[in-house]
Amino acid sequence: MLLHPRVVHRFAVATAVATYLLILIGGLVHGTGSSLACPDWPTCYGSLMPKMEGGVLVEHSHRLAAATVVILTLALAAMLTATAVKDAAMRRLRPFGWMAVGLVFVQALLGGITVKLRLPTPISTAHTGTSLLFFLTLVYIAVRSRPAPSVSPTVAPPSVARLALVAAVAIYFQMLLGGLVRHSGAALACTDVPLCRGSLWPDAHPTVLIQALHRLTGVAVALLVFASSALTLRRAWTRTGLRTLAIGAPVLVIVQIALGIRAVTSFLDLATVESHLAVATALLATQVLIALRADPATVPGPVSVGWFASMVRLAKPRITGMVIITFLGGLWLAPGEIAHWRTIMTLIGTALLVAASNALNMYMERDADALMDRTRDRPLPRAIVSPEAALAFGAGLTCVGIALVFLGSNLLTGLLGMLAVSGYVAVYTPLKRVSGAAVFVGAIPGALPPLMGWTAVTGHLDAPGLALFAVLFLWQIPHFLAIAIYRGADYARAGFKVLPLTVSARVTRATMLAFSVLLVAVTIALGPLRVAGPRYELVAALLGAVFIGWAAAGFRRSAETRWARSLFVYSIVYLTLLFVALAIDRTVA
Amino acid sequence: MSIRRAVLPLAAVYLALTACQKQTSSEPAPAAPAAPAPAAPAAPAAARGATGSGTIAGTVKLTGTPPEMQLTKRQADPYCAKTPVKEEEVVVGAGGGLKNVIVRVSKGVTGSYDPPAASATVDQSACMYRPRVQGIVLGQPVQIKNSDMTLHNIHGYKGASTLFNKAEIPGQPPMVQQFSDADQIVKLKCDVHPWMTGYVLVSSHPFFAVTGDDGSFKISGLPPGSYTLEAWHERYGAKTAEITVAADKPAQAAFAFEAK
Repeated sequence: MLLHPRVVHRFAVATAVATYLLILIGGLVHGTGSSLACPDWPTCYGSLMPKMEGGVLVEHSHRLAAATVVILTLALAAMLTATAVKDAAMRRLRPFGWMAVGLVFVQALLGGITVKLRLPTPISTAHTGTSLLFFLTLVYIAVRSRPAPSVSPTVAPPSVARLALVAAVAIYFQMLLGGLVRHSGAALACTDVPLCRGSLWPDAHPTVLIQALHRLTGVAVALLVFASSALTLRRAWTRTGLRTLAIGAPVLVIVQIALGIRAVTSFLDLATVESHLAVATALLATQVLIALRADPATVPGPVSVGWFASMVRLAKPRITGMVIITFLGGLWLAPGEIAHWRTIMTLIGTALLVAASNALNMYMERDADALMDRTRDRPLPRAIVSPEAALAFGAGLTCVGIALVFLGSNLLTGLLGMLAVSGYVAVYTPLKRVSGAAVFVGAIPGALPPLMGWTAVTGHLDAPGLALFAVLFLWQIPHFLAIAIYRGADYARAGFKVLPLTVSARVTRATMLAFSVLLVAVTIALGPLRVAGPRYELVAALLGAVFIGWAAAGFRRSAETRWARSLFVYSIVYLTLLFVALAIDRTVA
Repeated sequence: MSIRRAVLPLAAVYLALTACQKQTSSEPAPAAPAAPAPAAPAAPAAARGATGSGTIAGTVKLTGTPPEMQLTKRQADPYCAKTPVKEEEVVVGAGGGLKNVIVRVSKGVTGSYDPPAASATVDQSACMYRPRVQGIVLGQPVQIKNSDMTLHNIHGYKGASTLFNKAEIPGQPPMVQQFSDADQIVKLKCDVHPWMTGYVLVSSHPFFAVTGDDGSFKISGLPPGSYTLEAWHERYGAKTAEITVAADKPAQAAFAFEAK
């Protein structure tokens, strides 16, 4: 074999470094206003070697450098394929080599399209996003193709790699948002720092909000990187490579924030803007390197159609769909007008946040899920998807979801969205193992989407909106306790402290009945609050009477699980009919 | 074998790129080495440029379907949003005449010319540059005025490199900008309002014109002789034509750009 693995590794490193430089040249293209210096593509003024001056020099150099990287990438993929026959490590990397080839061609195509269409913002931003994915693929190949050292290093605890992974995902999306700042012309949408037009979240056009959001999320990303470094230093001090990265990352963060401020105050001084991109890309690399090198052994599972299907399953599409219907209910019922693009952005954002909550919940409960009949077929317990992939997926959905909700609706709705995700993932999910009262906490994020629909239109909290929230909150208590009763054995096996396992059956049923009564009371109160009219009131009262009766029946029946199952089914019918009644009432009125 | 060798060319490209930025010349090729001293009295060595009674008149046309100009996306700034204005990159008048084309004598004129006594003006009004395109003679100062009740920054580019970048707050007296190199087209950008674009030709002589609404132009005061005439448009680039000017009869020139 002519190709020693070390040669392949070095070639991968060189390609990754070349790509880093290519990204920087790409930044110069926009920074110098050279994006349309060549009106045609792929040739420039019909020539492969035009007169290299002014904007043409920058734009065409970017194209020539990109062509070089395409050649390097093809060579790398070919090397990985050639060595794959004998070397298991290279065999695992081969698909990534070809994935890099695919990405670099998509990237070139996006570059061409954006020139042909004269720089539409979404295409230019996608060009930024793909460039970073391509770079990360090369970094991955470069790190994983490294021949194993003779003395294997101590493995850092998995938390080190995972926190760095979350930080990397956050930096990636922060950079994508940065690309949007640049390409949407929001870079100087506010020229004051740190406030944006005198406020953290000005009442202004979305272009201004893109800038405001990039600043706020920048602070969040900075905190994540600090946390990642602190954890790495505490848990992996003896690993000198990791230690250097962990010390360097916060320094880069501080430089990066200073550069961001200077970019605005200097009216986009070229060197500052360019350094802002260079440091961001380097920062992204530090977190990916920490994540990959903390545990040299982790290898991703095969990526297939089944893998993608499993990623979708992580989001629990059915439950997400149901939650979205309650969101639309709130949006529909709220008084006032909302632009279509706002509805669509907020809707997609909310759906992504619900999906993110589900995926992160499955990530956190992957051990418990393996113990329960209901959940042992999920992608994580079956090891179709790696915990890292699920974590990155959940973190990514959160980033995009939060950005969409903030930009599409308003500050209040965005904060409610953050409250929903953090409440579900950081409070409810861990609390389930501690206390049966978790159900009351979990019902809060569950009831927030309809309120988000409401506040997306109204922009403030008011009694009718809160009543809508209360309906969904109260409804979940009997609904989920019914599940807990008939799935009691399963939950006990997994170690979850659901209410029926921690208090007597009588207390559980009394709780269910009490919340049913409260629920019916609030649904009827929607009339006096002017959310709905008398026709709805009649339906709510009738449906409610049946609900209370059904919940009360629990005290008499001996067949406990059958009753719980039937109440669970009725609760779904009840909520559906209630919303149908609300919708009809509103349409007729 | 080739790892380090693969990195080197790329690093070289990058370094060359950043280093060359300050040296590149702008799109129109310099016609003659510019006199280094901008102020006319300080240039005794350069011969006085000749003038005459020759004129060149003509039109610049756009063939094909002109691209539709969209409204500028200016909602981000509440002040600018009060006045909706369309993009003005391609403005076509009656009979396909193309507006805002710089037509200038690019070869055939030697010697130095005094700048006009009056300064030129770029006004920032309704978040647009007025005029969008104009020419000045080297040494002629340009007053940059802010008539808007919003902040503008005036970012001047020569090719891809920055010549100056200054902010102008509402109510500030006009700033005066001097240019040191002739035969270049300086691009003006406002980074706060990315749709704002303007161009100033800095010429070593007064033989230039900017096409009007109907695409027509007229250059006068030329001594008889043979010249190269260049027409430059911000989107469609430059075209040249050879032309002979006689003292008594106006020379005719016509340019056509193709819409794409």
